[in-house]
Amino acid sequence: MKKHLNITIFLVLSGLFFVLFPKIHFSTNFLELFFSQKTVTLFHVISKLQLSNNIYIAKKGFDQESLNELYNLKEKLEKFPQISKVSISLVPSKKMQEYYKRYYYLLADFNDTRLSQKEIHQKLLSEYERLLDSFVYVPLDTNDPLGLFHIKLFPHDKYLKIKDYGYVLKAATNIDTSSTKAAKELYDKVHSLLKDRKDVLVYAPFFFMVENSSSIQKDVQRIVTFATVLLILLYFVMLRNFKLLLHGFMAIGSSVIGAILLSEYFLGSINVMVLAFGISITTVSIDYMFHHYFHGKFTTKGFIKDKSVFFGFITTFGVFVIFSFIDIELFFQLSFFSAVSLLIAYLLFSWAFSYLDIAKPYVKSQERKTKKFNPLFVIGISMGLFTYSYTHLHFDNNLKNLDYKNEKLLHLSKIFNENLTKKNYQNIILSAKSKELLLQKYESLQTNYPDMLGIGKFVLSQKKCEQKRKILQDYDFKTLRAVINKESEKIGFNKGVFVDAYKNVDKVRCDMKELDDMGFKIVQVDKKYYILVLINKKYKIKLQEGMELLDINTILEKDMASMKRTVLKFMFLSMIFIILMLFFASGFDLLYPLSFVLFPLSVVLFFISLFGTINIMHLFGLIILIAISIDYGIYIHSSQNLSETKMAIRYALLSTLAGFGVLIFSDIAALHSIGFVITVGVFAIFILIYGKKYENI
Amino acid sequence: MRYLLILCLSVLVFAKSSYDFDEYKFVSATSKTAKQSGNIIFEKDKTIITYFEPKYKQIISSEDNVTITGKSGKTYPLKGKGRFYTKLFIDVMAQLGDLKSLKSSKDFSLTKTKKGYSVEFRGDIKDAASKAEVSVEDLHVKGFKLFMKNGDTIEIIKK
Repeated sequence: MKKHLNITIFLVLSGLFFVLFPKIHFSTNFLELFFSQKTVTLFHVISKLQLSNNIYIAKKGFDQESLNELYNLKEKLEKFPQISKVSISLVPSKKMQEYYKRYYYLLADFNDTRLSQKEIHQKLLSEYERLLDSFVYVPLDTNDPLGLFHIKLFPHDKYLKIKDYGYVLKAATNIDTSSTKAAKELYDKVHSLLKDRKDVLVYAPFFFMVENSSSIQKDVQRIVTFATVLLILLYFVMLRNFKLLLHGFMAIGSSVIGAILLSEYFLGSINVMVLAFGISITTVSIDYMFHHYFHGKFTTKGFIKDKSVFFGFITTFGVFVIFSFIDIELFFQLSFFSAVSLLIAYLLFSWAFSYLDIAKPYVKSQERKTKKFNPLFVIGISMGLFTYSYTHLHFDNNLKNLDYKNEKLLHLSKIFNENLTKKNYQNIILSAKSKELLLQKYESLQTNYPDMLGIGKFVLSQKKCEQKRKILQDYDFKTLRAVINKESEKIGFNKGVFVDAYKNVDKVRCDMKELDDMGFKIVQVDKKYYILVLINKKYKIKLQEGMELLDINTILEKDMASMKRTVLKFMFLSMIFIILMLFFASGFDLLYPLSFVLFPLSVVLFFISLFGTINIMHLFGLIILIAISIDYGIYIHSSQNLSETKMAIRYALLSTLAGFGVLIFSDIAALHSIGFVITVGVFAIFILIYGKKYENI
Repeated sequence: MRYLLILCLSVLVFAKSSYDFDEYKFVSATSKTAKQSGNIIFEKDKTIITYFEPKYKQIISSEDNVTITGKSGKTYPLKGKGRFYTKLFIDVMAQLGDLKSLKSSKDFSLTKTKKGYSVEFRGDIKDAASKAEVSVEDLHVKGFKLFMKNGDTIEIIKK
């Protein structure tokens, strides 16, 4: 019965997994993993403000033909259920025109100077002359013939356009652009619509996610295939033990499933990124299996008590427990997952595998006696490399550098952003506890920055609206209208032309509401209200409470820098813990196993400093490298049979190289960085293991 | 022969359409009509309207700007309402004045009449003008009349 323990555990856990699968919540929200709560809230606000929900299509040429093609596209796009609004013209929409008409007197700047009869006559006369003599036709405004109210209603350009290229169509989408599936569906539809059209450019911010994830998927598929081929070669050609391979896979599977179930139970959900990294870290535990296998422990029929494997495991486990105290969701979840999966893997390889009856493989004993290297010499070199790295390494806080470089889309993004976005403005997010307070905040800011843009251009706070209404009610429009009608007839205007001039000005109501067509909106996130305002770059803004400069790059860089500091602090704590554990395991001889941790780390950092800057993914790789290297130092140091230990380490290292190292061939900087750390680190460990002095027996 | 070919190519490359016209502007608020005469040239990147009567004025509308030049040569750009309406009318003039553009434009819906076409507007022009009448002779536009929402009319008669 105990012979089938590993299979039974695997089947029970798999069964449990499939039963509970519908209840397991796999999260795809990467933002919450990486960034501070403040940044995550800001991202929610940005997402609700729908600042990146537009698709832009540009057609070459500034002629009617180009416009016709865009109008033709508009008709087709309007039939897509994912598209909420398509616009080509910049002229206010029908809805907005009606809104302006209703609230014109409240929204417009009002010149409340009282005019004399003579002044009124003069103004009407010049209007009369303009109408008949001017070469430029502007219709008579019978509602405001004296121009007492002023509002900028007419856009500078009639159409959106890209300079020296052509007109642009803007389609707003109502889909959640952070959902890969929905975004890909719309991306495909739009591209299929434009397939046979010439001289057309199309761009949307969410295209990056669609195109990049497809490229990343292809890249990952390539890497996974390569890794699989390497692992098959390793296990079938070199190891030639199918039973071990199968049980090894089942044990890793059980560890991963166990970690998923416990993560769900204790954390409420599991992020797919944590899952991916967690599985990778779990595979590191394969070295427990190789160590036992090459030392012939899988026939012991009882818990394998191996001090080296235990110390290797407990140190790695401890490092992850320490990392779980990092106040960054990613590290907390990943550490929890890794600690649980490594614990299960350790128990399975030490207990369930002991009943498998897998015989010890033949390992050719070395005919020469190896002489251990001088750890002081290795640590000395490591310190030298650390010093060089410390003085030459620069941390890259820019998260974008880790992403796939989509040159084509980056070029398009530059063209559209330079031409369409208000590049002379700084984006500010205002927040307040109520809409009224938010609008009042806007209005108070407007006194300092009169040309700022935002929802406050269209919607007034109740307080300001009532003030304006009072001013309008105090002005004698009735008498003014009578004078206008009398004087206009004298000039030559037809009778009754101005009968509606300034009519109902005093009856305006303060019941303004936001419309989608305003281009700005008020959004609510976690009991707070937010708006975006645009302030000209010529102003140096003094940020007050409830004001946030919306500069995504700077915000992310700040978060990244803070994350780096925390991770480095915890890496330092982990090193102290490792030294303590090594002291427990090796006493005062700890320098030897310690060099297995320090040397690979220093070599990796040295090479990173030679080739470029260090990023957050390098730090991830270094954590995995620490987890690997601790075990090997302890194994080698306490080994009774060096040939078997070395053989076990060789297979474990080759497995790691095949699983992780191949990431070095990835085109994505994030994956390449991890691959680089592991590959260089593994080679450094190989140097320590095989680069020793030999002396003849 | 070679020179003839070059001449033909040059004509094709530098071809620009233009016509002289009389403009009759009826202002309903005054019940008066003002007459102006001029010439309009449509080039690839700009449209130039030059009024000769009752006085000289040149309006140049390009993708980025609308400018007015007086007899003294002083040029100033149009802004706000003036710029918006001038651009709108020049665009309409370009389309109503040419039968091919008239028929292909997405901004119009055409009904055949005895003299030519009755045009109903779609899009932004609809907010300013209610309709237009275009007279056609021998497959060429001879003139058109724009009916504004406020009762004003602007009539262009090609000379």
